Amino acid sequence: MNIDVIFFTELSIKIIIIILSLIILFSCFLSMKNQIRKKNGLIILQNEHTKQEIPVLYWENSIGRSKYCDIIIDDPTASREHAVLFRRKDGWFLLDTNSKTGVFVNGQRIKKKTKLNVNDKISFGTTSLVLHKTSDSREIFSNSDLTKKTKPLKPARKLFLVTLFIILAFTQPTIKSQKIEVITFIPILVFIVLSWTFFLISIFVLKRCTFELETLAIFLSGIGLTLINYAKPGETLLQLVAIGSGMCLFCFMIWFIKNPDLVCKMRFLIAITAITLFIFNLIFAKEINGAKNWIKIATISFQPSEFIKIAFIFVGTSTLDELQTTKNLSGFIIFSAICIVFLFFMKDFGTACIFFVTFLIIAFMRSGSLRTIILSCSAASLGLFLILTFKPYIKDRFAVWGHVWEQANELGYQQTRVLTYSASGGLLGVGVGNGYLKNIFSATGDLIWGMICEELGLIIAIVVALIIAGIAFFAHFYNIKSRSTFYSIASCAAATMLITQAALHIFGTTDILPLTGVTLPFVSHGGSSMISSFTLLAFIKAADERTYALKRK
Amino acid sequence: MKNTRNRSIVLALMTFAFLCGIGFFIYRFVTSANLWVLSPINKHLSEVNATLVGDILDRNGVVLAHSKNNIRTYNNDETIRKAVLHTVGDKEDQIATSVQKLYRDELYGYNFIFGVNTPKIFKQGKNIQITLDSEICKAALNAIGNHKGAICIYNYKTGEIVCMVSTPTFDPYHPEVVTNDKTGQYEGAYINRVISSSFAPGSVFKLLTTAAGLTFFDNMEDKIYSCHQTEVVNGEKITCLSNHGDIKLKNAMMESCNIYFAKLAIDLGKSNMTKIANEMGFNKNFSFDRLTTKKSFYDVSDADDYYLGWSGVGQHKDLLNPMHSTILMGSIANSGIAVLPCIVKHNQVNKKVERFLTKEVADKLKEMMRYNVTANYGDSMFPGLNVCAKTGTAEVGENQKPHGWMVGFSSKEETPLAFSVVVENSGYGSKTAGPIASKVLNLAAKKVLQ
Repeated sequence: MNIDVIFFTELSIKIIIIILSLIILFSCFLSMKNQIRKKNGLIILQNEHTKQEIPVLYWENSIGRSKYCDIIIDDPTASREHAVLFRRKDGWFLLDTNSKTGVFVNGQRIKKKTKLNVNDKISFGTTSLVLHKTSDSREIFSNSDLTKKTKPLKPARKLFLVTLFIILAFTQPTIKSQKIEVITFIPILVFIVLSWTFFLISIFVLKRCTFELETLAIFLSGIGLTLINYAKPGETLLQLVAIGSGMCLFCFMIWFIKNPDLVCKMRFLIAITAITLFIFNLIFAKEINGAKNWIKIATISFQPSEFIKIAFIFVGTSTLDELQTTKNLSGFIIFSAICIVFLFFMKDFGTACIFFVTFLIIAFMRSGSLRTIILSCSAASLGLFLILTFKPYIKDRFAVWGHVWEQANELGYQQTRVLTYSASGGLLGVGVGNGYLKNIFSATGDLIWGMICEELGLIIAIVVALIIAGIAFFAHFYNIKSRSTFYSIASCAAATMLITQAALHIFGTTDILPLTGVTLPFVSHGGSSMISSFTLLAFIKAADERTYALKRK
Repeated sequence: MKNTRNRSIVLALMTFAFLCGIGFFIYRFVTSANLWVLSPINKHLSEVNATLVGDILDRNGVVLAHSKNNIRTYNNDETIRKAVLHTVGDKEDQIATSVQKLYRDELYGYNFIFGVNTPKIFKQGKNIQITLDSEICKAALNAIGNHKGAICIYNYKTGEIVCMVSTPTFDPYHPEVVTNDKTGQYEGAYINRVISSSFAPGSVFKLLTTAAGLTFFDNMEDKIYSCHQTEVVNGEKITCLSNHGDIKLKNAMMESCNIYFAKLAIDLGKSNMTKIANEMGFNKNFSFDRLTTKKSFYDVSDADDYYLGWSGVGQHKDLLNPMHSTILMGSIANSGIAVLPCIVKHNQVNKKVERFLTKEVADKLKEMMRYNVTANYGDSMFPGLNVCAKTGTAEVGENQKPHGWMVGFSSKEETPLAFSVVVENSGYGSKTAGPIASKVLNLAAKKVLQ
């Protein structure tokens, strides 16, 4: 073929995949609002005396005198946070959260959580409320009313675009070499089969209505797989296995946290397991790149800290009734402190930082007290100060921050390569497989942002960053509609982990923050990281009430 | 639930911070990618010089550097190649202040959209025209010969540097002479002495002491000091070349009497001397066209009267950068206002100016410097140019010959040229730097008049 023809084919593919990536970005985030429940009451509470109707908007509602309660009772005899009214699979429940004057259902004082029926009378202090169905005769305990506007083709169309993107990106190198070998296409075929199986199972077996988050995860992992396939062909299979396991674990996790009350009871066990894993890690791990966070069993090596992230969220999150009865954070604080100290011993500062930020978010979401946050931050800075005083060599690892060009061949080695090669890519990229950054040590793991910039161009790299930011925004946006504060807190914590990790990765490699050597969620090479990314996504997915409540017919 | 929802705003803030970070990265990418990409570590461009595409031309359009078939070629004349080497640059980018290195991004024509894969049709490496005149530079190199030193001439009205030569220099086609050198002949060959060196100024500095005297003493021109060849200050001797007796400023300047200016400096005191030195551009860098000059140095904070006296005649710790001295000459010629120089020809001229001296002081200095030439150096050195000048001979150590200086300017309206010539370890300024200044300035003036 003529050189000009090759050049223009390559150029048009580059432009097409950029357009595709933008379409995927916008269509996924625009359709996330589809079929969302309107802000109607799920049931109605009617005041017996004033006949005033109070719509119950959420799945979990705090009841009390405080203006921060979801259902406010203007009654001086009621406690500030008097009770919790919440919905579970088998109906509506009421729980007295250590109120002074007690909660009465049909005249009887309740001790533990009590199931409610239509027309039950609930009394707090001197106020009595009667439970009614909503006026538009919504079924309280059924979910059928939400499935009105299902458009089954839409998610498939988006996944098709992703598939097209991956195929085009994958074929880029073959245009230049003009040799088509079937064997090079096997990984991508497996990946496509994998993602469509995931899709079909979600839609037709699990009957889910939404697939946007999964589509985005598939998109990101597809980009990662494409880059890895041409940088380290030997590692493609492992990455595929990791993606597959991630998808399985995603489904498992959504099933596992179906009943928040049950999971809350298992929390102590999860915490103990996590700490055991840390101890195990410290004893058996080998040091790779200065961090002691890899365990090798037989031929499989994994990073325990990635799995402890999941445990951390389990331990941190909580249902509203539990939040209101036990206001104590100390258990979680102790667990977090242990985790962070372990990570410091493992010299894994990046992950320690992720844990700390997530701790702050969880602590704030649970307690709402700024004092806790300020106290934790000062404790952390004191700890950091002590560590730097007694182990000054740790400081050296970060000394190059902001001065990478002065030490381009020593401590700034990785950052300068990332910057130079991202600049070489320009907006359109040099094309998959044509980069030089892939030859740098751990390019597909800790430096993959640079590879995206170099081989796919700045625009696609920004799309990747926007997708991660969008997932986090999604977690914030949807958590009011979630079925329990358990899911709200868990999804915010998971989103915090994803976004902190992405920030440390992107800004670390480009010398905006110190380099800490963390992976980019979903994209980077690495089994543990991939599996944990998918699991974190499961928490966000679970917070969307449509995941459990809305079923395809 | 409401509470949890409200508290999750923290996550939204974090997301926002993340987006700001991405924005910052994009900003950095847009502003600095052209520099990142040209880093020598980039394997996409295995040899930066080979892939440079823009030409470097002199002020008359003579090609000084050119790229053809991925090979960088330089001017055909060996002497021109050597004379403009420090401004144009070498193949291995050893000269840090060269246009080829500082303007790599413009010469290379990095295209933001395509990155390094920019197709030829879009790749427009810009040509860069510099203000130097290669013929004047060639004459300057021939004049200075094998001496180490620096020659600089600039137009004090427009700021354009027409001649900038630093020796030792080498042929960019034969960079190996520097690395193979055992004799010390090529020591410091990668340094542009005009920009990145500073030398003891010797008597040239008396101009500054005079300026301070004119500023702080009302009757300065009539002030008499007596010179008896040696003067004992704090038990140590300040010496002069001859016994000048009672002498006034104008003749002291013309005869370059050390004792006169040493005493004057002592009478002025440290703070007045330092104030005037700083006003006249000492202890600061000048930046233009991505270049930054080395600071000229004047510091008498720990000097006693003896050293203060020596500092007033350009010894002690005094150092003068040749570019700065040229700018300083320009300011005297321009009644106190210095036009900052430029080395790259710009389409629109935006001169940057800075006041060094008051008009009165500048005009008196000009008058005295003119008298130096007519009464001492000889106006025949610069026929028809009305040159005002000052020579200097700076002692640099026991067993070394002194550095010879000549600085000055043509005060004629048609030939607004200021010059500095410094020849290392050569002897008396009037004997060594003088003839070089004469040859080069006469040629430069002829070129300006053409």
